[in-house]
Amino acid sequence: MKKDIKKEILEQIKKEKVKIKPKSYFQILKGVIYGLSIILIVFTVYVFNLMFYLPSRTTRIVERAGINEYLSLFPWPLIIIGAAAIGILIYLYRNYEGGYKKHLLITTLIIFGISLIAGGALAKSNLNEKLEQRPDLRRMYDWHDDNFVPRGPRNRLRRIKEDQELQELNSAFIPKINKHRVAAEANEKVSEINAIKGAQDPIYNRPSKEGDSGTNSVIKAVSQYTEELIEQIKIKLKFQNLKEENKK
Amino acid sequence: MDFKKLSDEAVVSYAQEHSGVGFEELIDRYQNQLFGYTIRLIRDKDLAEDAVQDTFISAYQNIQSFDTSRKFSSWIYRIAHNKAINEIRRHKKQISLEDAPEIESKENVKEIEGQLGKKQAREILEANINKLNIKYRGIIILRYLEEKSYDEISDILKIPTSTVGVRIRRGLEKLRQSININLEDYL
Repeated sequence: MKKDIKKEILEQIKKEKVKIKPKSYFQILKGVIYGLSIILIVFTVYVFNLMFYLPSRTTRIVERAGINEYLSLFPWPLIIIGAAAIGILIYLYRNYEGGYKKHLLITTLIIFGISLIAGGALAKSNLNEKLEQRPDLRRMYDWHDDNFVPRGPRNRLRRIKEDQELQELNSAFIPKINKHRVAAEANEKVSEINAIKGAQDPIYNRPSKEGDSGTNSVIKAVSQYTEELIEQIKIKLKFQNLKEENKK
Repeated sequence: MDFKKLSDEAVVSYAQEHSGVGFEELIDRYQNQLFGYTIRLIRDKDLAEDAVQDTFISAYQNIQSFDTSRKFSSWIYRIAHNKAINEIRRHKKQISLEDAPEIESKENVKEIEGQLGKKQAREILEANINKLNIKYRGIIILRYLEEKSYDEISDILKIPTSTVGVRIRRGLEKLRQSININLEDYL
């Protein structure tokens, strides 16, 4: 060698131009890589789970099944996302964990197989149903329905969902309706008795006023219920308008 | 501290704990080996020297990342290989990576090695190695001139051990074609 490499390197080191990177730097880097790998594994398994879950869920809701229906509902874009995640995982494994010792094809098949099995198992569990109830994640499932379910099943799905929403709304009101009806009927009876006896109203625990007849109590209760119902309908209409605006 | 008696890994371990003390010893041990490897790979003396210098600087900076349970020579050769490839790319030297599908056949490789004999193989290789493209040149240099094991080559080039065998076989076949020689004449 013409140059004295050793001398040059040592000179550079002495002049503080070259510094040793601290151990903590590599530890943090390793932590980041492991963290990223774990996130990617979880994400990949979840994506594969969705590949199984979403088509089966839609066929179940719209009450149609069969391989053709399943394929028409398959969330194909998820395959690209899943493949990208697997690609990054393979890259990290081969570059940071000695994965290069194994053939690329074998590594790919192993990671793909594990993701597929774990995703399938997850889809069979009731985790998706639970996640779907969460408002933030529910939007994601709805987004899939609105964008990736073909038009025919999508319309059926939308109608079914709207019916479900109405049912939920009704079920929330039924106890109130009953409460008002019972109160109104009781009030009417009591008012009749009060009219005869001139006693106090036991239900509302307030003194009877002149002209506060049973009929008036019923009218009051029904109008109160009607107002609440109108308010809820307004909210529902507002919600539907917002949804339509968003779609536009 | 007498580093001469210590293994590479022990010297690195000491350097890790004592802010690089002992790194000089590693330069002494590897500068000629690495220069020999990079000059055969790059085929340019100045660029090879630059590559070796960059290798040691990079090794010094990243010494804390070295896992002392592994082999130091594979680690430093890996860095040198990468630096050499970078130099070649930067100066647009002859690179014609052939991406032909590889068929794994370790038996064939061992058969050819057995037939040639180490001395004769070295003779042929030294004379014709420059005609090979970088993909095979590197692996043939490591195997026959640097005398690295398949496992070490796998660590240096970050390829599966089975692929090392395949590439060596193909490299030897290409060498034979390039010098237009019949192996039988050497036996």
